[in-house]
Amino acid sequence: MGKGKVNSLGLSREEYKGRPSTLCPGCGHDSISNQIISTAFDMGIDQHKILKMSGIGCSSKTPAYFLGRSHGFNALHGRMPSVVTGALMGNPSMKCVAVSGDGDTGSIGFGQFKHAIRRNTPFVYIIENNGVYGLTKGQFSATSDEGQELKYYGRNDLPAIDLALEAIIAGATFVARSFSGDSKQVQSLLQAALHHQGIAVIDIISPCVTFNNDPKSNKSYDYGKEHQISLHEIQVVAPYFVDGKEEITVESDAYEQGEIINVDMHDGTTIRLKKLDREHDPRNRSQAINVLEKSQREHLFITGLIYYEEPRPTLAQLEDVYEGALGTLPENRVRPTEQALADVMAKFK
Amino acid sequence: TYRTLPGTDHAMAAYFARGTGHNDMAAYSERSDDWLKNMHRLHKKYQTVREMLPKPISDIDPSKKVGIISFGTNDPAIEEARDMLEKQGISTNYMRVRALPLAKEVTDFINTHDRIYIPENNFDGQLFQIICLDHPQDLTHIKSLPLGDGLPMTAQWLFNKIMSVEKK
Repeated sequence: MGKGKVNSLGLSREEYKGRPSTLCPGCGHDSISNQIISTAFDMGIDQHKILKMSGIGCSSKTPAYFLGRSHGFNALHGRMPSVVTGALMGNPSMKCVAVSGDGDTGSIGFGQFKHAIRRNTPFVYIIENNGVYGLTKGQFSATSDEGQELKYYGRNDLPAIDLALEAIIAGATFVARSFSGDSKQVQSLLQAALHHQGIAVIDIISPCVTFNNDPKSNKSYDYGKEHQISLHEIQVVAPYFVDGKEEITVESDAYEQGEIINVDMHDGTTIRLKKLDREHDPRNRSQAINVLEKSQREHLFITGLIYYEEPRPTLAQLEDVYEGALGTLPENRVRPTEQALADVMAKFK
Repeated sequence: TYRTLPGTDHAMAAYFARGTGHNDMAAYSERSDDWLKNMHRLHKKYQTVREMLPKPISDIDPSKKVGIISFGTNDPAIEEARDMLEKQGISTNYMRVRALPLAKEVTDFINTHDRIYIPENNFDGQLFQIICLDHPQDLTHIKSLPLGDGLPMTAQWLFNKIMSVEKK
């Protein structure tokens, strides 16, 4: 939709923005914020039904800059997943977009990252990955490339953690990787992730223009533009888009060049993937792991929907939690009567 | 200002909670004067809350001039030690602190005894240190009795410690 137009809610794109960004001009995170704004606007999302959560870091400042009509919570370093889990158990009807960074997720928050996936709390988990601790002026992070050198910190001798691979291993049912400079791909992935009925992890390489944008770095703009290999063209067909459904071609397990794979989601949405230059079926877990390991070994920058499977029950479903906001329940629904307590105590006599 | 719940359908309902500075209307602020105002507010809150938290539980006889201040599960050992000391002619008052920051009653207790012992199962004697921080006046009449051997405090230990000072 173009400038000046309104979406299905009668809102302009301007009304999906937040405060002006105070990040460095050219920061990859601002591109991602713009893509979140565009996606939410295009999808006609009610902002009050979205929670925006974050940890600590430059990435985690960004929820202030998008979806100004959504409630948000900027938590502690590495603790966004537990806060999201609590928030969504308190009100499972909310959608949630959570932003974290490679330090916030790959180091201090690694345990929380893994367990949020294990619990399948249903939210969009965006890792804005720039390979450094930007907010504290450019230290190496867990995703910094082995052998990389930075002016004030010398050489990184430790291997990088691949957060997309870790997400698959932990059991995530939607895992993608992208590049902040590829707005079309990011928006498609965000759209698909918002339809997913489980945790959706998107590892977005998002260059830090101040501390890690040397062309030799695999997290720089130049590197991303030159080396990005998109696995497929992605189109998200909403369940009510009947015309799109009629165009769906026959899918096949044998992946021939030019073929389309249609991934049917839980809510009737279809992710249509048109293969580009290499074979990849995101529904195949072994293939997903292999493509990421190959990309690590051969220093390839593979992007797209890496892995998808039918979502497991969410934590709220497993725990049979009330599907609305707990805070709106009347007292007689949350406070047992004196007789109820007496009946319980009687069982212990 | 009023707090709204997530999910409230109104253009003005949203709030972004974060640990940065904020002004009187809870809006984000990077101003140093707003920061200082917040620090003063928190200081005032800290001082006010002394009177709102659980008060110390005390056993005080104004005629007794030796006092014991402690906290938590040291309580049974202290009570037993007090009985043992009483039999040796050393009568004590006892105050069990239950909250921080310390209540005004702790200051009153300190000012109305000639000698005070602070036994605690804390190698560094941190309750004693907190009491010292809170009371800039002369505290030479207060003695720290820190225990840190990994075991619960015993009445015998406390009795021996106090007797070694009182019977000098």
